[in-house]
Amino acid sequence: MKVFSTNYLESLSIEQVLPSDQWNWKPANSNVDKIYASGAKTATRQTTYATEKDNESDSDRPNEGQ
Amino acid sequence: MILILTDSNDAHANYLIDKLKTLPYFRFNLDVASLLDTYYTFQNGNIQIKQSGRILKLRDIKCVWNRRNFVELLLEESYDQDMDFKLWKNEWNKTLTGIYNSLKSVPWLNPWRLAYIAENKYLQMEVADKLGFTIPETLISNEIGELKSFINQYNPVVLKLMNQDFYKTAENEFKGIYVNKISLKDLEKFGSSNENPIVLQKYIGKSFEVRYTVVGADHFVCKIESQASNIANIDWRRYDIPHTPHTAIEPPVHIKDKVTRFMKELGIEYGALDFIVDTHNNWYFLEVNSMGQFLWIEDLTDLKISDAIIKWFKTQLNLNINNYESVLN
Repeated sequence: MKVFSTNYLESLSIEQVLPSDQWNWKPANSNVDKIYASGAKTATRQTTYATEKDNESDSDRPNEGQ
Repeated sequence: MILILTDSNDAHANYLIDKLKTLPYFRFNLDVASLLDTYYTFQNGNIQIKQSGRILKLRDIKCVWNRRNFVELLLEESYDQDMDFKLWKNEWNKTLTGIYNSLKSVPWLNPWRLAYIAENKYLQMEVADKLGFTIPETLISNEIGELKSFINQYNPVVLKLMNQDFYKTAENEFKGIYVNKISLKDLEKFGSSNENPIVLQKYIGKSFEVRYTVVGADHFVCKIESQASNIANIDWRRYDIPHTPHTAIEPPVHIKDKVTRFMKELGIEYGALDFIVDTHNNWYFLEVNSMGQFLWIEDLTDLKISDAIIKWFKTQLNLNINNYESVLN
């Protein structure tokens, strides 16, 4: 099977913490080096793609009749 | 005692736990490695959980912070599961629902069933529309004629997915799908049959985007200037934070009022909502994430979201919250 949406698959966005002199804006919290959770669900997934993705796919969820 | 449902790699849980100080909590990690070192007993209505040497008697729990609900699988673990693993996982998931049943009388942030119900994008659109939010024109269809008509009418449009998952390619890479602008020409690849319904939405010319986080009665609103980045301008989750200013803002009163009613309608106290604000300052509701992330917003803006969660814990534990109120107000 081939479906349309897979034409848009792309590698997951991975946060890069650049040195502050390479930022073009100044965060209210200047301690930017501690930005470790910029949308990534967990470190293990190393992605900022699915900010809210609950990694259990539907098939992994118990069928509780939601 | 606070029950924190999470996994061993959850940076949000790590951060909050560091701030809990003397507040009593039990961290229940639901990743596979942690559950392999977990012992559970249900007898005569009482539940005891032992995880990594720590013991919880469920009757001690006064509130629940719901970061995860079911067995957390790493991407690799979600593929090629053998029979024993599937059985082990399924039985643990049922066990977890048993635990949650025993906790139905204590407050949750958010109640797990309501959190999942709230994830339904159709429900979100329905409630948002009812409350008077502006929503971008949307079509969900697998009929090529309907898709073409929509693009003809609303061009430019974007393609979105309802289910944000990761997919293992033939090259053994995990890939995902962001929001993409698409044209009639792109639809030439759309099959005449066997396609799943896809989501098309009118592209809204953005002035900026908003991440709007709610914890109880506290609202934290972050302006995300994604248009300043050539990478993040269509979908800010293609993170380019060094070139995407994030700043705390006050929302319009009518938006705040609608958000409050929206949360009440869904029965949840925590939510991370996404908006687009166009060049005429019109706010477009996109979605709410009932278990959405917030730390990167707090890190960049100093918005005290985690303090609001701790305030929520203290309220449930009937503890003095003056210190946190002073921080928030």
